[in-house]
Amino acid sequence: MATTLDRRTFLKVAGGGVAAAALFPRIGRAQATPVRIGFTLSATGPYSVGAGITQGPNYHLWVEQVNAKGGLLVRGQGRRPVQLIHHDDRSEIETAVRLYEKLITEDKVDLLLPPWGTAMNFAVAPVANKHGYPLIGPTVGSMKLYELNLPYFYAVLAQPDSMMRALAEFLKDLRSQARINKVAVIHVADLFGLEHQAALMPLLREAGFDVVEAKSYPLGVKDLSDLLKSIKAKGAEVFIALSYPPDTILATTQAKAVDFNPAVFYGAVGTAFPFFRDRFKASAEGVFGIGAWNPKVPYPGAKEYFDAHVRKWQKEPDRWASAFTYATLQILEQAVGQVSLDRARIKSYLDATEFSTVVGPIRFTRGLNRATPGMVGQWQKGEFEVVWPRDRATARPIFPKPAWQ
Amino acid sequence: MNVALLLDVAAGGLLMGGLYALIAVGLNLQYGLMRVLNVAHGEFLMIGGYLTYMLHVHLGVNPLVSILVSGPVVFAGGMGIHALLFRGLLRLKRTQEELEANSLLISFGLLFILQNAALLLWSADIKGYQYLDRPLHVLGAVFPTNRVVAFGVAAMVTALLFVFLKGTLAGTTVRALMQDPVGARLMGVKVPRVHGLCFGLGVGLAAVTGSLVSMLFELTPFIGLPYTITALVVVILGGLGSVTGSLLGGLILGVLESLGVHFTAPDLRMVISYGVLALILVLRPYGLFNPLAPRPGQASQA
Amino acid sequence: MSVGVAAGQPLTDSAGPLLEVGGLQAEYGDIPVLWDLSLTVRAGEILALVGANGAGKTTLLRVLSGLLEGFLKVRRGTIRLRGQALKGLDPAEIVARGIAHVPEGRHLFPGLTVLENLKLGGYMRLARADRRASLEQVFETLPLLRDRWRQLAGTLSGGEQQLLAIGRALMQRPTLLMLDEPSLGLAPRLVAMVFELVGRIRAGGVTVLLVEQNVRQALALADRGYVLEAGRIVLEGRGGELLEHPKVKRAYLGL
Ligand SMILES: Nc1ncnc2c1ncn2[C@@H]1O[C@H](COP(=O)(O)OP(=O)(O)OP(=O)(O)O)[C@@H](O)[C@H]1O
Ligand SMILES: [Mg+2]
Repeated sequence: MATTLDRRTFLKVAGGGVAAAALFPRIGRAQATPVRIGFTLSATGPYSVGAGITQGPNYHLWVEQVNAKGGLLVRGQGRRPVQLIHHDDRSEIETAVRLYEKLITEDKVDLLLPPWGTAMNFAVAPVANKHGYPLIGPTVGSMKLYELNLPYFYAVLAQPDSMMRALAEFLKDLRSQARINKVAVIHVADLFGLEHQAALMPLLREAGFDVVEAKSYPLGVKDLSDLLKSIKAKGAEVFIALSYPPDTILATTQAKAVDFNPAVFYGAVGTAFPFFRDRFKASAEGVFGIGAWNPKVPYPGAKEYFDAHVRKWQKEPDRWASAFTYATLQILEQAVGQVSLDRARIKSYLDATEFSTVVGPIRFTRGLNRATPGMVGQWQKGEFEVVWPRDRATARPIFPKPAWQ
Repeated sequence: MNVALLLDVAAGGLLMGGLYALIAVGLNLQYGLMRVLNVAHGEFLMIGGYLTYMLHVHLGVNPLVSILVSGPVVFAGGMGIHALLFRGLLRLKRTQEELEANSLLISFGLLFILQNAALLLWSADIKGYQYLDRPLHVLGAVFPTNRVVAFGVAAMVTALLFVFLKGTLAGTTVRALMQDPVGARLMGVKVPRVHGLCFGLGVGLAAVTGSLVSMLFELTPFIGLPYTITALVVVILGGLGSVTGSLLGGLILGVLESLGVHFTAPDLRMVISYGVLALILVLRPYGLFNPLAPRPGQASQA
Repeated sequence: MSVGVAAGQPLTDSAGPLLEVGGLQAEYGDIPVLWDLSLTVRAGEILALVGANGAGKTTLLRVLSGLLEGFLKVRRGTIRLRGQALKGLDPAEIVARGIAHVPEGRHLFPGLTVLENLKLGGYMRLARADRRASLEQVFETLPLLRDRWRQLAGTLSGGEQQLLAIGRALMQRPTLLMLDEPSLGLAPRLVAMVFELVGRIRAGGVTVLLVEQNVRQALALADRGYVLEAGRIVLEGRGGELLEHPKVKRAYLGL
């Protein structure tokens, strides 16, 4: 039994890239040489969870859709099949850098897609930039990256400044409804956590909140229950975890287990994962998370994207960066269709165009997408509703958070 | 300083310590007995966790009952792996150093294989389920119910192990072999067989710990190694070859970690572990409770 | 007093050799330690094996019990117990054939009680009743062990440890008991006690191969003896004869 299962799963995993390539003799018919697109994602290690939920499935979904249309439309060359060349960076930053160098100099890929996570992109972006490869990061939250001044790097998510400003504004708004004052903030000791924390703390103080706890914890942390107990003992009414998926789950599990039920419970990456809802069932109700997207948003293609994802993977996309990942691919597709594979021209096109995507309009200002505001989402009856800012909201927030179920 | 909170935190540490103890006892049965440092020990914990996860989520088996499957299955698998990979090593060994080095290499390979097999079987996605995750109020303190239950089961399994080690001839043989392999061979003990048994027992205990861990934490194929490291710290803390030492060592480390984290930050949990390790190596290199620590006037052991 | 009677072995000298070693060569790595060594042990006798430090006495006993660990290898030669080849067998199999070995350094289990040490001696006796009978006999022979049955072996005095090591070997009900320097490091009173015990054990029907540096007492007690020098047998004879041999007198008795 083990053998067959092994083999089947192995084929599924190993064949991911091959499968895309295998489609091409049938669909690409003609002699068209494939457009080769390279990337690494973490298949192992602490980043693998996020990579495997938010990025991998969307890359493969997009390639399948493009190839089903007969290939990627390259201006002046018609449709060419897409072939993915990808590797496991094992959540090791040096490995990722080495692999991207290899993709560029040895494999000579036509285009690059980014790896998962802020720290990874931080390391890989300069490499892509040096060689003039545009890189549109769907899972990057860092202002530091922009201080590096990398003209070929783009980011679609709202960045720490606007994301944390949205959170602070939202908290102020809630405070006008009921007394919340004591705030505890924990963050993962990784570029993502550090920057968000640095952006959030002054905003909280400015707004007059009493920060009763501010601590960091390591990537891959095993246990947060002691920390949660002391936060509970300090009477925190707002709990903010600037966390990565495994620790978002951990903090939620353990908060529930030590009976810590603050009026506001906010987690970062991972909160918007369907896995979160499935794992916590009724207890997910009322949990807030960083960023938000759901198939009810009024942008063209949003619902279709959601359905296609479910059809292909038998699982829903996550309710934040998945859709943004897909949006980066829409952008890339449009750019190549308009200007061909000339990477310098792609860059100019990215700089000058407003794109219509499944997450709404995206427009880059010096590499940053300033068209998407910071947002807050909340699990409500099985859907991750956009609750802030008001003009983007798909539902009104539930506040204070109901008891753990 | 809030004394109640402190006690609460310490008790929380004690509960985790129970799990540390269980996994460390398992490692000690291997390392204390054969000097086979099985760096894949934690992978068996991971496998035990997944077995329980599958039994619970797909077949609705109670996680506690699943221990009756995960323990024995991994025990048998461990005996098989031992016969396949380690038995030959033991037969061919010429020096202790050679054995230690080779077994380290083999178990590294094993770690890699088991981790990748888990990755193929279960993917890198986080897996978890809810079981007894309501708070339990005891004397004003709050504990996760599942942790209290896990601790209780760990204590029971350990008690059973003690009955085996102290109360049966087979168990006495294991202890004898730990204390003096030459003496044991001269008594007619079939060493490879006992090693196999202990390897199986060791990883079986890891699997049982994994079943308990799956009630408390999410699973990924990568959860094993940190537990191996913790187990190693506990084994050294308690003393090589001392089952009692591993037990107390696990509890002590659990409490120290929790208090340490409480007063500093979760960032420092590993630092605290390593600090304890360094301190022990300097102050009591034979561990706190090692019955084999050299005493004045006693010949050194082979 | 009777001591663990060996399974139906005649006690006469003439019964043919119990153990026969022929042309044995053993090496540590590539360094030979035993050279073309031949000797016989007759059933029922006490055979003394004497020699200076490093002569190879311990090595011989290790070869005989199959403790070929580390770099110790048997290059050539035969070992037969009542005609059956022993070479290449595992210690467990050799123990099962009736050879017990009280090794140099005793190799007790220090963290186990006296009783547990003895029980392990009876490890090969599968029947519980059988083990109990052996235990009773050993307690009768060595009453001191009965008094201290709950004490940890590691906390016994040196002499007591030696008695326990012998008692543990007797639990195996051996045909041949090999003792490696049982009197080493003991006070004179205890040395005498150990030699007296060896006499009693033989009287109980167990053949004894006694390795000793305490040459005078060993040869006085033994029926026969061998002198080992640098891995070779250099002298052989009745105990009394060897005691009188000028070479022995010079080299070992300081006369
Ligand atoms: N493990 C070993 N590796 C290498 N050489 C060894 C080893 N053990 C013993 N020897 C060597 O083999 C030779 C015989 O040693 P052995 O211990 O048999 O002597 P012995 O007659 O028992 O000495 P003693 O009276 O001191 O106990 C010595 O030269 C010794 O140095
Ligand atoms: Mg010797």
